[in-house]
Amino acid sequence: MNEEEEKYDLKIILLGSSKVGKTTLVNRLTQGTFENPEQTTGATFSKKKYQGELQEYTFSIWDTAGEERFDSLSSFYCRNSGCELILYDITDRNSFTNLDRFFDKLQYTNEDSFVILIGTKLDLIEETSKLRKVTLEEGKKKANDKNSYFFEISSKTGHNIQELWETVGDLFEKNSQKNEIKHRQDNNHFQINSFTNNQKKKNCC
Amino acid sequence: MSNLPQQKKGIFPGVIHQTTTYKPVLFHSTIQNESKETKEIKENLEEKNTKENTKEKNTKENTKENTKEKNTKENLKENSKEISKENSKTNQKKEQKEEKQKKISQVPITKTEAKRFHKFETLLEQDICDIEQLKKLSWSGIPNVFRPTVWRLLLGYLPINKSRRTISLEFKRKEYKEAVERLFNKSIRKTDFESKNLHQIKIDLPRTQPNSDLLRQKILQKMLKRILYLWAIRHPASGYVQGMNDLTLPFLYVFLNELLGQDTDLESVDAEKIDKDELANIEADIYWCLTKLLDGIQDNYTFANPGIQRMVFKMQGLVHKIDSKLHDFLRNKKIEFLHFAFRWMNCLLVREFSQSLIIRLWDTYFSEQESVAVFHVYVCVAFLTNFSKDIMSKDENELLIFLQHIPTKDWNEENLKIILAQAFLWKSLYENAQSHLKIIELEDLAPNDDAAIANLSVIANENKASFREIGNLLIEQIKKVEPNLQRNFLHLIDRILRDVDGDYVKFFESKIDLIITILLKSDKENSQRFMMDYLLKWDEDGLFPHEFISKKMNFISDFDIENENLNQNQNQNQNQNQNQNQNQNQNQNQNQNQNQNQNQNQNQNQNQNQNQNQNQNQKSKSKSKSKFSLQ
Repeated sequence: MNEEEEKYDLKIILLGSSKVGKTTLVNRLTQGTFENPEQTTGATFSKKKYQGELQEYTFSIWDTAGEERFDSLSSFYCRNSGCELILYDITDRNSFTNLDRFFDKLQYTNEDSFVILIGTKLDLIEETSKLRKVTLEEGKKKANDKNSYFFEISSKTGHNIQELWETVGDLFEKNSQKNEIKHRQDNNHFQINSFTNNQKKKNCC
Repeated sequence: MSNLPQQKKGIFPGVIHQTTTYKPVLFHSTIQNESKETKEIKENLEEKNTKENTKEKNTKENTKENTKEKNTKENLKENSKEISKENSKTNQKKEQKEEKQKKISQVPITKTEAKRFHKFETLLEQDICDIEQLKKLSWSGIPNVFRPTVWRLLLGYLPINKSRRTISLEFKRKEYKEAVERLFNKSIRKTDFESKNLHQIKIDLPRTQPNSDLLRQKILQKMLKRILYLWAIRHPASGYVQGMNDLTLPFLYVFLNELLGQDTDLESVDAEKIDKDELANIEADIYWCLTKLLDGIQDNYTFANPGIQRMVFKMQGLVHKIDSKLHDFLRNKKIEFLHFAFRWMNCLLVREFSQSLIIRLWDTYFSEQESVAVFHVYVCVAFLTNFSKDIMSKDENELLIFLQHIPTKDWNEENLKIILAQAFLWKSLYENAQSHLKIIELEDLAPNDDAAIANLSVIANENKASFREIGNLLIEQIKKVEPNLQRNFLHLIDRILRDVDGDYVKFFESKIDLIITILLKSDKENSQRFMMDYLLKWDEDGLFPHEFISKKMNFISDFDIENENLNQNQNQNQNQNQNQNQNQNQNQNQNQNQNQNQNQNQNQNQNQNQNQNQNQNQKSKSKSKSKFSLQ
């Protein structure tokens, strides 16, 4: 309708089973805090600024409910998403084996959005390595199979959080620069959410 | 994101102070004679003995302060005695005497309050409680002391026949205990469904109201776990769904306060010290009350949450009527009602208000004639429109965050009362005109997006009887809108065909030629492929017979615009837009309705004068977008 519809430079959506740490990650990213949040109902919206090379961007972050019953809703929230963070808990095997449920949601997102697979609660296994139920290699392999990026993080200690956020920003900037050129050719104002970048995605961790 | 801060201290904070200020708040009634009144009510329940109602009035603050602590302790002790099964008549008589001897001060109340108080008393003493009168009275709030009993009565957990209440309560509590024992029998292996539900409940309870000290106590978490798990197992259509844990809390607080005394600060209670039998009774009561509550809203929690979708959609329709400025504002900002109202529906606003206000709100909910679901929507409408000005002053950066965290921290009962009054008014205005409203909704809200489509599908499902009317209306709409929206309608029809069986399938079977013709006429190239995709899907899923599908496929591939009698030439100026990417269309084309039917457009766009300009703008915009997407 007007410019408002493109008010956020990037829409990020968090997916993953219940209790893997989606809200905790959002809180870590947006507030820098670590606490035990209430379970999410529907989806919670928040935003975070990203300082790019040339300018500042605002990303919207959609934190969805992990419970299966709200599945139909998360497809609804996936619309227009440019970046999907798919989370599993490295101490919970089920949260890993269930991942395909969330990769299936990618059909609802932007065609050229990028996906980051994230293993959470790394701090737990630092104390007792027995707790680890999903190996680093398994995670990497899954990410590779699904053509997505990969991280293992801890929202508690902040491990890899900064790296994750910078990756999101970098990927966004790379994509948007390519778009911008096209936009200029198009004599159009700057728009996002439409990455034409289909470059082969690689792992990073 | 953190939710609205819950009140940490006390369930009825401020109640005591307010009662002393002569505030005409019906809800805050006599705190000090509560312990006595509770006792009386319980005794009434326990046996039929008549007893005099002693009401003493004492306005002295000092007495109040002194007796408060004493009362609480004694109350706990006495109540435990009272409800226990060994309760004997002599025991009760003795207690009654003690009761009389105790000098319990009564907080001064207004005349209206006293009158209401007396009415409650009278109603609860009736041999057969006049439940309609009780509802009328309770709608405006129930005094704390009567609430536990009145809730049980209103929810239908306690029989209206006074003589049967004790037996019934005992029976129900016993039934619950036995069911739980069977359920947690470890020798029986759990099914997938069972362990999945239990797992979800177990991970949700530790994070239910994370700020509450009370709820961190393992004994209470285990208790809530048993309640929710039994409910889930007995209601396999939905099972446990997040949000139900929130719904147990008001019951927990009300029944705990009944046992421990109304002025007990529950946050500082050590649940381990509560009598185990008493706690077991509370547990059973919570279970049964929760069951009664959820009975009315179970379709909120079944697959795809149709109840919630329906409520949110109804809410949107009502806001459109009641506060169209706000509605259009949200629409222009691309805010979906589902984005913020989903939680309102799923948790019955429990997460939006403090506990004391929720408990007050539920007084009214349980006093409603229809299911909670009906009135709740109007309350949500009133709640949202109450913040209309605030919402419309927000820039887009703050808007959604504001909507998801509407500030009710400073709210008191007066604020809530205004909302309730508004909701009541609107309900009486609009609820009976629902069928009318629904048709309007269909006309007004073009299926711009998945949410609207899902909602329309729910309406279609609800109105099976008028399938012809709705079906024809849909087809009329298809004729009116531009090609990309037409395809959205096809998506809607697809949803209806899958969600609703019988009449709709037959209806669309007979209309499919017409639909194909409309679609192909307006945009042959794209619609052909699109329509075929759907037919193949329908064939695969067996929605229509195979021969029927292949006939239609032939019909599409042989379709020739020249041979068709063109009634409309609506596509001339739209051909540029034809190659638009379908995904983008869904998001961009809200309100777009570029066809020759100006009236229709005027319905949708608020500003009639700018209507054409607006359309022009939209067109040029989508044009540029389509170019973009092609690159």
